[in-house]
Amino acid sequence: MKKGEVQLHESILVTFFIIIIISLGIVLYYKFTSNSIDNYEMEYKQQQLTSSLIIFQNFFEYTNLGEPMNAVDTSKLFYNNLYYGFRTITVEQVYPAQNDEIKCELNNYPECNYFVVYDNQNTRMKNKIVQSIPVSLYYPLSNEYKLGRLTFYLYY
Amino acid sequence: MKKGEMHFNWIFIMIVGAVFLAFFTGFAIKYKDLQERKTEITMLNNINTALTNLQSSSFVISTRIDLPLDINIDCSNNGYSIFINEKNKADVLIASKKNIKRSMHAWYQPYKIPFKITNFYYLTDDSPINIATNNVNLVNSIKEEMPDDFKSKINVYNGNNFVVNGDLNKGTVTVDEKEVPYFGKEMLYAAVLSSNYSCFYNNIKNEINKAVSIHESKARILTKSGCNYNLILSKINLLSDINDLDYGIVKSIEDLNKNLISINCAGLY
Repeated sequence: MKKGEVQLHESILVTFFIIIIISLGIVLYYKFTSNSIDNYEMEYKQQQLTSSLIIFQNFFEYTNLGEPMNAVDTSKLFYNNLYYGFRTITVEQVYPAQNDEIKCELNNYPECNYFVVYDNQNTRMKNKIVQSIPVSLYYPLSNEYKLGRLTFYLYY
Repeated sequence: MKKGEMHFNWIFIMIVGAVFLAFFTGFAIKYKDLQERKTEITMLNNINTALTNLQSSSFVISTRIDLPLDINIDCSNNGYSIFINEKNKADVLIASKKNIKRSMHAWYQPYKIPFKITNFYYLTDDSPINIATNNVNLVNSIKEEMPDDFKSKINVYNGNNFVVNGDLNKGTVTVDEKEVPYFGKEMLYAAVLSSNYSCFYNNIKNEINKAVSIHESKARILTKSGCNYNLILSKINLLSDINDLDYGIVKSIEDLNKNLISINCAGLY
């Protein structure tokens, strides 16, 4: 093989390896960007869940003569014709604290402290995002306010 | 170099070149999709935040969002969705034209008859809204109640593209040869600002039915206190069909609710 041919082959090899390194860099950069967008999407899901918590609170809000009182009306929580996709929504009383968890049903209300407002789980969805906010709970039968926690579980 | 070797080199270069070209082209396309998805998520996040924040204000305010991409608002009987690059379900009722370009103005009103049914979101962009109506005075009067950035875009003329039969509270609007009722001025705003008001109306009927059911279920619980909610419930049930309903029903429900409170019963709303 002549000296010129050897140099040509060397140049081709070097170019080839440089292109391989650039390609690897691009693949890594793509993966990195893709991951950051996945994280961003997750943040969006969390943001959406926070909005859902606020919208939910407004939907079941206690109003006095139509004026919002910034509290969840617990007597409305038995409405069961809701659709929120694959989610579980619970409302629990946290203060005054009670030792036992008593699920609220029509027959034991208001002598209870835990509402499952919506529950639609899918066994194939292994991941979930959980978000809670403190809420004021209003009990119209006793005209009492209690402190509660509204929790959304989003399955994906 | 022999002739055979030369051919092999050229074939080798062409194959490797094609592989690299395919790789870089594929990367460019995927990267473009990725960036579009990122823009879409950013926009959805901004829209979501803006719409949620509007609810927290007790004043008549509107907000403006710059849109890097155009958005389509799709309405079906199952609700609304915002389409940017793909369909994204919206959990709110939106009165808007189908396509919103460059910037979006949003305004919010709670819908109460007299108890709260839901929240309406009114969206528009920078382009003018021309309304040729048979009732210029009525449309002008509702235009005056809108925020400035909505008011400035609405031009009202005499004509027959938007025919209103009724007053501020109750009546029908005829758009594109479809006559659709409205009940409350919030629905009339929606009729002015929607490109598909009949779809909006179908969705609001579902929301009214939901609100009626919630209050029915609440009344069943409140009867434990010994109070009688049958009369107010019979009136509330009438709201399920607002087509032939007199707007006076709102006042009558309001009075019945006040009467319940005056005899030490819990109000229904």
